[in-house]
Amino acid sequence: MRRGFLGVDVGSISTKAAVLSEDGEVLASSYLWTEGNPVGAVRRLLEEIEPQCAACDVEVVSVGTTGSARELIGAMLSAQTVKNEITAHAMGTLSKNPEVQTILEIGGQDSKIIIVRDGVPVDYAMNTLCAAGTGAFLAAQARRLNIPVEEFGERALRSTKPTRIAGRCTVFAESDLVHKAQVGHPVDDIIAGLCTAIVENYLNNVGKGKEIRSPVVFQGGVSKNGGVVKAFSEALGCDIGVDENGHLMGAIGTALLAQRSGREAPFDFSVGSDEFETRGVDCGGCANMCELVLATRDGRLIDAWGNRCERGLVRAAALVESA
Amino acid sequence: MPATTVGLPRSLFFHTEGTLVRRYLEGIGVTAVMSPPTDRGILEAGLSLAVDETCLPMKIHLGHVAALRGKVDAVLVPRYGVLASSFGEMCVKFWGAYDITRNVFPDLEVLSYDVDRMYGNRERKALLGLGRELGASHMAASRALRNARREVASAKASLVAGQTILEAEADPGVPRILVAGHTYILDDRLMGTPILDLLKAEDVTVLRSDRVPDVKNLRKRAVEFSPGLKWAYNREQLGAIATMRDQVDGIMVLLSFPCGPDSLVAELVQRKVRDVPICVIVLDELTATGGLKTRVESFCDIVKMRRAG
Repeated sequence: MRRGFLGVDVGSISTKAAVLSEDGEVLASSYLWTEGNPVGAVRRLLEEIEPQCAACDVEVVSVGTTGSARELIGAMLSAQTVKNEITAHAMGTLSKNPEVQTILEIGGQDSKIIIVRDGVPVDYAMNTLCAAGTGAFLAAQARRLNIPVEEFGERALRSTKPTRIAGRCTVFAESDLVHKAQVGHPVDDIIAGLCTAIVENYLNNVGKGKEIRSPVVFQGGVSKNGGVVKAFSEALGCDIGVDENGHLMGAIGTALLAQRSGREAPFDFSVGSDEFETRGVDCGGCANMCELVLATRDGRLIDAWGNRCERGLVRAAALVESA
Repeated sequence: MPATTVGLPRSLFFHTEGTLVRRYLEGIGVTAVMSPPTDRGILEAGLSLAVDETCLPMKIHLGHVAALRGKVDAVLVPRYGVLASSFGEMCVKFWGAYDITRNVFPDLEVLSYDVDRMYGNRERKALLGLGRELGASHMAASRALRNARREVASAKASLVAGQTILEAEADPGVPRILVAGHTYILDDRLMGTPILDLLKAEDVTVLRSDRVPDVKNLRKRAVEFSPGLKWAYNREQLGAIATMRDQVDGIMVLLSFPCGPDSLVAELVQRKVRDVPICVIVLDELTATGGLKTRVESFCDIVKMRRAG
């Protein structure tokens, strides 16, 4: 039986998993939509991963979670490693592209840049308050134009003269887009203009002050959009690498982190069928009104978070006991 | 009619000047009550009282005044303007805090003192004037102020010395992170404290820009970033970064939305410091701790990986 390391990346839009062998080969993987239910998504994910592991005779010995639901899923799977998605992405990408110097990432709700030198991440930035220029922005514009967002890339590439769209701010971009459409710019040019606007916005916000050196790898859901890839390539004057497995990098990275942690415990796929429940409770202990989340398995409290102080934990324990 | 119980809002100036003023008032026989540390309730009260466009610390300030209402005879809201030509000026929110508070709370008695070199009002003169207004003799007020200043100076010095010792004694293997921000943000229970706590949980040595020694020197060194910075606190922050940049592994800049001077500082730092990782965190009233945790954690990871090489 071979030893495997499971990495689970639960994002706001999609949930990904990868099982790595001891020498970093991807033995099993899965990719599906979170659909606002991370626990349910991970249950389905485990159902897909289990037969793949059985087929190549792999036993999962360590689990890592990442993504915005990492704590929740970490509690559910009793994960050995719980790590933020930026570190996980950097680790995953470096394992596949050791030469990379710049990692660009645009996801559903956030965008980041990671600067790598000699195989070590040395600097990074993430969008601050403003979510302009992320996947959510593109999806909103696609709805406005009544075109599936999946077709955006193809249509943008057809354009020869992208329309100039003000990319500084989502609100302005939107009104600018409407104006350009009303005065008669072709839709393909407008879509290409949106792709250029996203790139300009990214480079002026997240990428500000960073030295972007080739080789560049572009990841996240928006990297599937050829129009944005082309706009990046033109703006930076270099080739942009987009990995087929780009969507799995977070899962691969967190599996690697689980392996490196050295912490191991036999993993049982039946954890998916356990009575794992979460519920939200207002602490009410003080004016902070912390929103606690209680995670229970078979009626026992296994974790709680969302509290700003110890009182929240005490309260959580009391609430579960009284139930 | 002299007020007997004076409320001090735990906001803006009183994060730095609060202890001095409290000790001084106590010295002249006035009871001083400070509002409790910021919590969600204070923030929400502030949000409902303030105009939307003002900055988060000002909204929190109004929440603190509201928290004191009914518990004190008067609330003290000073005005800080030009400190000295070489120090720079205070932000306009400090200039306007008194008038804004009076307008938002017309039924409240609001005491004030005015520190502004432009009109020859040094802090001593301003505070002695306040003492007179509260019925203290000149001699009693002078003595109380002298004692309060002595006490506070030694407390401030020990904070700065504490950081210097921390810096000298900390394990050189542990990464050092300089957190640059205003004291009224760093010391606020809702804005800065959660971030400092997250950093401490990451096993890094946390140094604060407002505890870097030799403030006078810091104000001078700010010119390395820009020759003509107007705002006093921003000069000190940039000076602290100029002084410390070679000695730290990362710089975290905290600013509150939508602060003009702070956003300028963040911009200058991002453009001019290219050899140290920088993380800019913008605080607003909606800031969710989840997003903060991801940012703080990943920044510390990058700093640690960079060190490990």
